[in-house]
Amino acid sequence: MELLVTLPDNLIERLKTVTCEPIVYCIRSDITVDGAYSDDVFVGATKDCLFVFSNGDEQFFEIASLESVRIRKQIDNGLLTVTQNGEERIVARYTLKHAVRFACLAEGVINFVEKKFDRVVKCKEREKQCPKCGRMLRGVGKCPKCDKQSGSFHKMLSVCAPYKWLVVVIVSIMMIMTALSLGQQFVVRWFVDGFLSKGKGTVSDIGLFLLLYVGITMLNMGGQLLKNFLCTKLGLKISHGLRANLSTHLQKMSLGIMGKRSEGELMQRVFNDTGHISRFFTNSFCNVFSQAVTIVSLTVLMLILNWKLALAALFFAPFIIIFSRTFWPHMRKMNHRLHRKSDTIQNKLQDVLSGIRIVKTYGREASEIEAFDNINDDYAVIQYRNEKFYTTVFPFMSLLLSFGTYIIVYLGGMDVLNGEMTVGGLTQFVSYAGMLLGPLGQMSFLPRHIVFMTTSLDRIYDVLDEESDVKISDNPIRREIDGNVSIKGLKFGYRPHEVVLDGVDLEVKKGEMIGLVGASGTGKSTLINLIMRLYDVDEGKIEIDGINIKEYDPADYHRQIGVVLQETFLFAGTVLDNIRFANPDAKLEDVIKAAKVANAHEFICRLPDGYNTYIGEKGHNLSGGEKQRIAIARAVLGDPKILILDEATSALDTESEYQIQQALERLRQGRTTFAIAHRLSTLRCADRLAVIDDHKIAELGSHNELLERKGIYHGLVTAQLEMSGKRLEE
Amino acid sequence: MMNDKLDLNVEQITSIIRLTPENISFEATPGGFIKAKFEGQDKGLVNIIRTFPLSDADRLLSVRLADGKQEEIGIIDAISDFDDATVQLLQKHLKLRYFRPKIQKIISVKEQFGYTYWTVETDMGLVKFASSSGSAGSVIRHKKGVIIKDSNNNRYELEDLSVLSAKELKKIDLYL
Ligand SMILES: Nc1ncnc2c1ncn2[C@@H]1O[C@H](COP(=O)(O)OP(=O)(O)OP(=O)(O)O)[C@@H](O)[C@H]1O
Ligand SMILES: [Mg+2]
Repeated sequence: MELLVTLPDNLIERLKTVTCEPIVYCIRSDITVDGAYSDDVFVGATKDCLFVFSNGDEQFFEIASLESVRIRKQIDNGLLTVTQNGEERIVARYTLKHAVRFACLAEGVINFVEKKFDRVVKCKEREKQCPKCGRMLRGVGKCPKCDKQSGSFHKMLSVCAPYKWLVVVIVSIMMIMTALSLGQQFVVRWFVDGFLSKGKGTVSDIGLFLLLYVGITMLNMGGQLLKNFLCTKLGLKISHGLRANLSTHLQKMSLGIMGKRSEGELMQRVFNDTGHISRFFTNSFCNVFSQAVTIVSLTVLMLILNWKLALAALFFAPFIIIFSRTFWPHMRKMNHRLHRKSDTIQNKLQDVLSGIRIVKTYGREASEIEAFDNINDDYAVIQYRNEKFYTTVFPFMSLLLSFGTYIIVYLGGMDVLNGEMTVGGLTQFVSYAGMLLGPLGQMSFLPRHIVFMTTSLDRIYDVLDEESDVKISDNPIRREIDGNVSIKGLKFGYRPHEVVLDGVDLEVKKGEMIGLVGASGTGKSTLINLIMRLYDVDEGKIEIDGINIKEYDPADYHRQIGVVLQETFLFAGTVLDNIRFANPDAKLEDVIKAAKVANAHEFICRLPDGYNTYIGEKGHNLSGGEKQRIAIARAVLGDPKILILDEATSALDTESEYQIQQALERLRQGRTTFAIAHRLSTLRCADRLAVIDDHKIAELGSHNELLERKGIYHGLVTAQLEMSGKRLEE
Repeated sequence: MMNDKLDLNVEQITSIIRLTPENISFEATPGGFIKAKFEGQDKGLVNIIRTFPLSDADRLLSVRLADGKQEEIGIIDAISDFDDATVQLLQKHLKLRYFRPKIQKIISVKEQFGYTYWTVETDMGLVKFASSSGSAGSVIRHKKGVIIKDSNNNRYELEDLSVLSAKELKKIDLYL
């Protein structure tokens, strides 16, 4: 994000009378301290001065006179304050639009206050809005309007590229069909002028005509069927390809990026946007494009045949376009509303059904039924309104269309009477006019369809173009690791202005077991996320066997780590699939051994299908502790060099926890283990304990050493013993 | 055999300390914050927090230290218990703490590239913002109106849908 916007000239001049240092930071706010919106608020700093220009007011603070600069988060806004002579003062206010920038500014100015003048803060976070037009930017930081030339058309072509033969076939069929339906009218004309109007001709002539006419119609219908079939195929193929691309890409992306987008948003991209594209190719691309081909060739043909009549027919085109442009959006809105309502109904129903236990235990059936009835009534009302609209508007529409034909019949009729046109010619022309005006209304929406499709395409590429935060080095190292972990000067925050860990140093020898303890939310899970390299550190480094973690090939590295995470996640599949996840070729005996270590074998044997029991959403329901044990077995089976246990046994009863501990104790020989537990007794076999507090490792040492220090750990242990009614001395 | 210390904690955790003009007084600081004196003791800067900001904005206000662990001093039952000067002071503080412009007039609503762009007149002036069109939760029903959340998580309140003109309603109908 930009932290140095240009100050208006008059303010620059004003600032020059206060300081001659150059401006280092300058950001805007959108509100004054009173909360009034304003385009005229600037806050910034030089190395010796913090300045605030707010709607004509100005404030200058000599940096040397400041004790501190900070932001105070409020609800839906924030305050920038300075402290001078022990008095904290509000100097500026901002909405959440500028929250990150203000946080960075405060951090930057603090550096100056602390006389670290060479440190200039950069804001990692991406700009959310286009600086030029204010539109929301997409993930890769491109503006949908200003960076339009990012090649939507090119993308469309590249999407079609793998199926180019299919496209060629479809387009050829479209051409042939257009030619056929145009030609059909020539047959009619020939028949009318050659036989009917001259009153001669034989039965066989009529037979020939019928044969030709019906033949062409049949051909046309066949072509239509084939075309529809191929178009659907094309649409499905394209969306299938995109979906596959997207999901592979998503799996490769780091958690850092995934965290930036909501799960729902990603799901929407995968399903809705690819759906749009598929629909575009099935409906718009084929129907609308073939109509476009028809319209162009018809117009040309009609102009050649009789330009006067052609102009008369075209005279109606604008009316039809205007008419449909006014009504279609309305219809679209109505449809949209109907869809939305039906979504609401579905959601409500799902809500009630999935929460049926709660609804019943609280005796809320009646009110839930009433709520549902209300929505349902709304739906019916909307549906009724829509139907009414359709039945009134459509007859009008067809009347309008037929007007064009009446005029042509009138003008053309005159021509025929004057002998300037044949009856067959007129018949042909009237048919052409109908063929032209019909699709015109729909055609006027082609640009809209294209925009829709390209927007979806852009949104998909937006995800596809995004590069993973966790970059794979050029020469990734693949090796069997020993498990020496060394963390040096680590600093990390999920968001730039919210540090979670700062200044963490830790040396772990191969085979050592480190217990991580600390209050909830202090960053224990974060630390192991970093060790697993799900995120990259902001400052400092993590080394495995003396090699920076960034040098390793992530996939190869992950293979050698076993994890049991706080939120146990099992895939939809069998127990066996889940245990073998990390090591799909593992022998069945090994699977059982791993399950035994995890104390899971017993309960798995009690499942109806044993190791083949299907678990996951629709399958057999497992308890929290059972899931955890499967996750432990999974971690164990991989024969990991580094074992990570984040609250791995929190959902277990004391007895099975004890058993698993015993087993893990055996297992962890020769493996580096990081274990997080709130129940401190779980960590009794840890070699060393690290207490995380205040963003860093506050205490480090063995259980006994830490007890003697009488610090945080001592406090935690005492509290837990008190809970269980024992005293430390006992 | 529960420990005494633990029992005491439970008591402390669950009891509500009621704040009345008798036990607490507030004072504005020159810097724009407020200080509190509780039972004769200086507490320094405090924040006033609405515990039910949507349903009962002026009731059950939690008074907390502004710094450190932000411990709660106690709870004010109703702001009107205090004298006018204090009420004003507290209201001013709450205005600073909660920023939720009230939409008075809808000037335009446009949908483009997956976002809805709004231009509205609020009690805090004219503002333009964008809300994500697809995602649920960007428009939440609230009493007689709605609360609209923009892409930066700023929130805007439309207090009463029924006061909008038919033209305005038509503009926003689709997005509600
Ligand atoms: N994906 C994320 N994005 C943003 N912030 C996060 C994310 N995960 C965690 N945090 C924040 O980082 C801080 C540390 O979280 P972390 O999960 O490491 O805590 P923890 O020590 O494991 O806590 P617990 O004992 O409850 O598991 C918390 O304030 C949390 O809100
Ligand atoms: Mg955790």
